[in-house]
Amino acid sequence: MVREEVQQLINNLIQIEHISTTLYLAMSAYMIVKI
Amino acid sequence: MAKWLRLQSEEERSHMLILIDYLAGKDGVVMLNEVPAQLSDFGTPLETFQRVFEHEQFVTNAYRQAYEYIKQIDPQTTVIVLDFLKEQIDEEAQSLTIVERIKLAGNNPSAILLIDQELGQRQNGAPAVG
Repeated sequence: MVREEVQQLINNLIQIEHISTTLYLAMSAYMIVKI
Repeated sequence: MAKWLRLQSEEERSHMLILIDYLAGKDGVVMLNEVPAQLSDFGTPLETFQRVFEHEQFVTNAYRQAYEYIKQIDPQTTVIVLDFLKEQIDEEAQSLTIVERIKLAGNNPSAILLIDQELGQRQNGAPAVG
């Protein structure tokens, strides 16, 4: 079993990548209309 | 630009999946939390890619802090975090290059369209810039 603090750290990184995924998808959709 | 951003989104998703698989493979509990609603207007292409660059700087800082912490307690996890931290060098460089090119294009629509075409040539795993 992974240590609690390591699990928390990786989950934080997962959340950042999750936000990045959504941010760039939203930007892409905006740019389809913009250009 | 839309295609480049779509592929960038897919690349970030692949990073997320790698981290999920790593944590799940160690019998860890994966927590997928709520993601804030996104803007529907990101301004000009320059403003949009400046935001991309700033976001990449934020991500780099997060991985740098994670690396500094994890290297003291978990050598195995340090390897995967370091891989992503190294990748951030390219992520920042690519987005900054795009910002600089758009700045050079200024208010010239033809130049903006040329940049758009160039970025549209990106294939997954091989960013069309640099």
